[in-house]
Amino acid sequence: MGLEVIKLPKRINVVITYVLICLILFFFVFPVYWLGICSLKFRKDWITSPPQYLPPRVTLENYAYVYKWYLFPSISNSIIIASGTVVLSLILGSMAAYGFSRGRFKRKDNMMLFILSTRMMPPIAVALPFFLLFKTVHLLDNHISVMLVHSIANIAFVVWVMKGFFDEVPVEIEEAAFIDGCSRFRTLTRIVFPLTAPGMVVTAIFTFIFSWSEFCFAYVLTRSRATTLPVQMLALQSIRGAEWGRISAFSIMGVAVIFVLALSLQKYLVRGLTFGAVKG
Amino acid sequence: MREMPRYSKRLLIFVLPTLVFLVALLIFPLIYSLVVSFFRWDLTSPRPPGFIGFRNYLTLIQDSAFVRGLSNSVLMILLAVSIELVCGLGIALIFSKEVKGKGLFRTLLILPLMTLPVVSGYIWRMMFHYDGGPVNDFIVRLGFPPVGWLLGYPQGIFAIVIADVWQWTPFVAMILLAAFQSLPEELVDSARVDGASRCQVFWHVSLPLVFPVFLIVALLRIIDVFKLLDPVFIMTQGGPGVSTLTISLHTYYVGLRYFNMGLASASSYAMVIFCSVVAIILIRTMRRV
Repeated sequence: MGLEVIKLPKRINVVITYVLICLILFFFVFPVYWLGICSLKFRKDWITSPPQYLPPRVTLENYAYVYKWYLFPSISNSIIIASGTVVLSLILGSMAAYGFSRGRFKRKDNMMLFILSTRMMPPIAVALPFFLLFKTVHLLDNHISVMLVHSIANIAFVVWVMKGFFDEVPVEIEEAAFIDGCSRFRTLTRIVFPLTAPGMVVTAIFTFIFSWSEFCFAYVLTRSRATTLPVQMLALQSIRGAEWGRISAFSIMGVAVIFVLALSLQKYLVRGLTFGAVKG
Repeated sequence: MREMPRYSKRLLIFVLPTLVFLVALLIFPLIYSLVVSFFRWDLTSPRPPGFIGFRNYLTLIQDSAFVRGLSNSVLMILLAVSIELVCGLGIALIFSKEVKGKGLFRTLLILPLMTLPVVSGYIWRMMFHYDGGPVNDFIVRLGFPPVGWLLGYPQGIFAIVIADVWQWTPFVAMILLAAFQSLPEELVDSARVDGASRCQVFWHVSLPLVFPVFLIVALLRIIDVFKLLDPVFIMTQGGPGVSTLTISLHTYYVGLRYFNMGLASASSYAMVIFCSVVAIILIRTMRRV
């Protein structure tokens, strides 16, 4: 496939490939292992010199502590905000993507450009004016405001991906349904949506992950009532130092949700990751 | 005859709500921010805001922290993006081979992508810890003295770059992998039939075909590293001093620690301008290919 560059006896080739793969995976997986193992350590083992790769004693007390004091309401806030963001961006984004995919109207390209360019905006540059805006209308520290801002940041992605999926549905199918008498609404719901469902799933997952991990806007726009999980993690470090075991436990919990989501739908994930970047 | 879907102008209706939503919610902050950047507005001082024209921008250029932040950001972009692209390409090549367990390997590879940037910041803060971090442990076992990774310049920059490379190289690798796999077989086959060696096929056929994707990924990463805030905030907070300050962090400090809204808006706009320039390049490139 044009990718075998080195000509060596097949046996050695395979062995080298495996070794390289293992080295590469070690680099990428070890830090996650380290996070997990640190979350299980007793306080006095948190920072040791030399570091303990296989601690002799483990405990779940870090998880218990985080569960008791820090997990709520941050995790429920994150769930609410992420879900709301998914619903909002998926609805608006898919509609717009369909319009861009099938429609032909003046300035279509300009509009698409505008929407895609929102992806380029640096969060902090926009966070400050939003902070002032929401402060004025007393909407700071509110789920809705964070949801709105997350959606703004994410719609461009939804449009990008979904347009690719809509483009893949041949117009002939819609035209056939049209001729058979379906209204546009029925063509959409009965034919187009089912065909692009995998695309929606992928986009939903990525949007959820984006909103879940988002830090900048969440930090600027919330105080105590609508704090999300990433922002809440900051509470575990203070002038005296960071509580590494607890931070690790909290991190694992925050990341576990994403792992579960991603792993259960991984085959959709790879398709989604590559869509929009690969023309084809 | 009813209007065929392909040529419908009425589909504008589908796009309008999104457009209105975005414009309404974005136009205010953008214009507001621009206007404020021309004022002297300090939230902590009792003086009412006053119009000072471009004075904020001048202060910005002369502010050593801003300049430092800008140069740090540029340095990070150069280091991180080049490493990510080269390593991503290499990893894509290696992971494209048909070996047993391919699916598992690929799943493991994207593990870093699934950690939140904040978590990545904490992970690497632990990894780079002077006494208890595995990185220094590894270095010491090799016989070298330990490095104060997060304690100064330029190690701090390298630490942040390594954390970013760790998190995003899988992303680059997966996209390049998919790009390679979507290349039409016939092109490669016909080149082989015409007598090209494997190396030549790769260099002169596969690589040029994948180049557009490569460029898009490169530009996306450049913008993302420029915007980088989360890991820097967690790992070094820009310190010590301003040695690892990035431009995002600088804007944050000016706006939400020093509450100098005028200067913060000017800094924000400088960032927006930079990103727009890169975005225009990105879009021109996409048009051309």
